[in-house]
Amino acid sequence: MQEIMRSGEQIVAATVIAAPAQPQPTVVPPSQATVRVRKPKSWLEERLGLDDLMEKYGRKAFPVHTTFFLGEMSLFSFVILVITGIYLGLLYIPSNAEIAIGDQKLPQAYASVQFIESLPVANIFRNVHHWSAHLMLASIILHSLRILFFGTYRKPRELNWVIGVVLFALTLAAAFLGYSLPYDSFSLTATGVGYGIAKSVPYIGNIAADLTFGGTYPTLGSIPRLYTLHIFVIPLLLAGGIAAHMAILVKQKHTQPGYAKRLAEPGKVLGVPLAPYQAILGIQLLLLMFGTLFLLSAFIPVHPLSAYGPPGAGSSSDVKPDWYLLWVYGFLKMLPSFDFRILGGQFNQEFVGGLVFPGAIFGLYTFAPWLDRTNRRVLNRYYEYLEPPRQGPLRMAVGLAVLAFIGVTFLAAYKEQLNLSLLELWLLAIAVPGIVGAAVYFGAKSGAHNRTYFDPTGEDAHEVVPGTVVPAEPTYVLSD
Amino acid sequence: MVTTNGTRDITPRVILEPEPDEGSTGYGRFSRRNVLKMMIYAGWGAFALAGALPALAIKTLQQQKQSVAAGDKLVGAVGANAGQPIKLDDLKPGGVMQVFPANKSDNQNNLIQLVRLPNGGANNGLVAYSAICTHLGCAVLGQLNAQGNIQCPCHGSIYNPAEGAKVVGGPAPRPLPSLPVQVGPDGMLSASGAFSGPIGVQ
Repeated sequence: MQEIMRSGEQIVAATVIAAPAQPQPTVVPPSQATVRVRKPKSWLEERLGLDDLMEKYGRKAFPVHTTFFLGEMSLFSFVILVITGIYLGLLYIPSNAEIAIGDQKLPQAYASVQFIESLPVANIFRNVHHWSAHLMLASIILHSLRILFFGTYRKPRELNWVIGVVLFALTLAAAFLGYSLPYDSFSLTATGVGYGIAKSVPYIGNIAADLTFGGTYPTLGSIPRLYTLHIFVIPLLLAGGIAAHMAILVKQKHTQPGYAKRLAEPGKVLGVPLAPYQAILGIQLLLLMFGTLFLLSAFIPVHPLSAYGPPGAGSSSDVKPDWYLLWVYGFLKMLPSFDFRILGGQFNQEFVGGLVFPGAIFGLYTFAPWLDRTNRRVLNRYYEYLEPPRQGPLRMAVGLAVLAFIGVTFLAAYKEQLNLSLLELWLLAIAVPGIVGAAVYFGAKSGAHNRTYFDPTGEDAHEVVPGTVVPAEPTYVLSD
Repeated sequence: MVTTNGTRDITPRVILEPEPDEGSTGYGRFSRRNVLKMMIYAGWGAFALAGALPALAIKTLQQQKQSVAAGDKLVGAVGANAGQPIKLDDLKPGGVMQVFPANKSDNQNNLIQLVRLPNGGANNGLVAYSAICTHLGCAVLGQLNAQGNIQCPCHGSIYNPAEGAKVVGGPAPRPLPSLPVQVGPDGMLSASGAFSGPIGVQ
């Protein structure tokens, strides 16, 4: 246990304050007296009392585990998106009115993105903006899957899970709205599909679609509305949601990898302190991400305007959305046409495929903490540690089966290229998740009696094993 | 007043106003407390209303765009003959072309898929349909597929131009609306009516 120190016990000579001492009759020589001198307060400290803040939050322990950086990565991607987005906003013209460029008439938005592409730095920023959208969604998905499969969305963290799913949905919405802004032929097709899906909502579809897209898409009202949603409304909601997400994280503390249970007593979090270690790691990660994104952007440009061209007569032949929306696209392709009416409202394939299906997946995700009844013995206790996934066979099986279904919708997206018929796709859509789910469920169940049960709460009478070596490096602290 | 242990409570009391007792003061529901409460509720209500009214006033910008009508000359939509009037001879049997009604190309919903059927037929085998897919409003591809059918690149809807653009594959709910076209004495093509139904998503 040598490695573990209470940071409160770390003694720094300059900040030691003399204990309320007994009146000392003896005269202290000046050379020794300096040790007992109160450190003069800095200018900021005098006014803001930052030391108290650091005392309270600087010691927050962050467990060290690779998957614990995924949430941080999505946060940093958001930061990079805001920085690059501000830069792009300085140059972009949110209007689809046509202007004459040379002998060509182009929508202003398209022309301004052409201008952005002509400036080397702005072009890199545009690529970084696009790449970090991919990175943000990828890290959000992996972050949430880690929490799902390790069961840590259970009590007391249900609320933060729901906020997280809302953040995920908002990010997806922001990414989709971003498609509309370059106003090339891809934008027109992709956003047009979005308009069509919104319009297919029973009862309120026409009003909802026109309000969201600023009129019958495409109209002069479209770009200003989609632009405002993309650059202001959704980022504002995201920022607020992220703040709440993190505040709850600080209040509820991190869940911890299982090894922490052998090293620290219940109720304590084992990890590196925010200041300075986690902060250093975080800055390191942010810089690493910035560097990687710039490298990617320099060598692999994304969505160059010339590949799609200005909005012309026809659709561009490549109309597939990016991977994070490809599941909805694929499902729209594999769902046969139908149409029925309930109380005068029309329920059709577009509505079910484009909104009900993703809505159902998100609904399942949102309410997962309440739907998940695995490991009932700790249902009403506080989860403090990652639960080994195989301890929740049903949770793991359902999770992976849904992922397998989404995998089949990816195949459906490439239906023509893979030469798959609708029947084959639906057989796959039933068989693959079924097989995956059953295999995972029974695989996890078999041999369960041979394994020792790991209690994911800190309430069992576990003992800290003396002499256990802390896995990774720096100075670990325990914080309350 | 006698306290619980029997001694007399001699603590001096200063009573500034009668205890609020709504039932007996005679003011009833219009006691000072209740009136203040009502005013607070009214204030919140007015605040909510003030927030809701601008939300109701969000407008959409609908542009008046002209639809194709009888007599509109047809001009090329894409490629080399964009904006050029189209003659019957520009289209060989089995050929396909996307055209707009002249001067109405700002309305994307006017895009017309002009097909000349390979086996001829009435009107020189010329048929014209809306090029906007009835599934989710994408423009269909400018070329026919290997079976001679009209294909949408988005979600794979397929229409047969020889059978009134009947849906022969994919998720489209309805056939493409058709457009009557005529060949003028000079060989120029023009529309001789409007689309047979509403365009795009319904």
